[in-house]
Amino acid sequence: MENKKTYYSLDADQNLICKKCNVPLVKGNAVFEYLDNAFPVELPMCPKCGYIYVPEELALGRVLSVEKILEDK
Amino acid sequence: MTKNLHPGGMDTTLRLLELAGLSRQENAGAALDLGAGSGQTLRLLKEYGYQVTGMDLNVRNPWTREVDFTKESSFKDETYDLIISECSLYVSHHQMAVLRKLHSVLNDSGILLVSDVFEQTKDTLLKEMDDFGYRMLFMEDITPLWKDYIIENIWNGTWKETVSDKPCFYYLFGAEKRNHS
Repeated sequence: MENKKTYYSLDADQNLICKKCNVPLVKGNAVFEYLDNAFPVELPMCPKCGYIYVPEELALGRVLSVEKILEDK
Repeated sequence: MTKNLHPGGMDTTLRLLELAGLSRQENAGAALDLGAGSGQTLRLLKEYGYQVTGMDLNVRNPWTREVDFTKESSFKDETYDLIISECSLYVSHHQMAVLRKLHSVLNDSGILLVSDVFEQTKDTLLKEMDDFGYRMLFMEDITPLWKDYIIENIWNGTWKETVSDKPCFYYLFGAEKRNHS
């Protein structure tokens, strides 16, 4: 079985509810793509509509730093 | 196994030794590792037949002593046949001054092996090393590998440095001390 690499994993908080579908978010697979690079991650997402929750600290922290490095590449 | 804290890990160290044409032998001479850390490279150099010494601000292996190698007095009258520095010169903030100083710490025809971040382009660095009295043996730009290493560490949450706004490069090189400049 292929062992897929995951760059980041965040469990779904029970209190996170999809505003559109009104169901709790569950942990699922997502991929950050930027400048021809892809980083598989696990983030809370809506099991119905597929909405993905990206915490602000992740977006403005690791993701922003990685983007900066890729832009210089 | 102790983690090797530089891009490419032990493979990069082995590549440096290979590009310098070093092989395992008896009594290879005296070797110094600047920023020796856990001593993984020193262990490898012992296998290559060197008598090893490490310098670091934090002593974490039996062959290393606590030394700030940016200080002029750090090296006393010692000389070495091989000096290696992996990812330790740039963070010292005295990279070029240390490279200049190491010329006098090498024995005649001694070899300096470096893998590190540089702000200089390849041509500028080659010129500066020539001015210091070194003959460049080889040089490789492994900047993409270094950036992958940073990205991996950012995702893991183990990258504590700020991402530099300056364009930087990551080189592997080997240089020989010219006996007469």
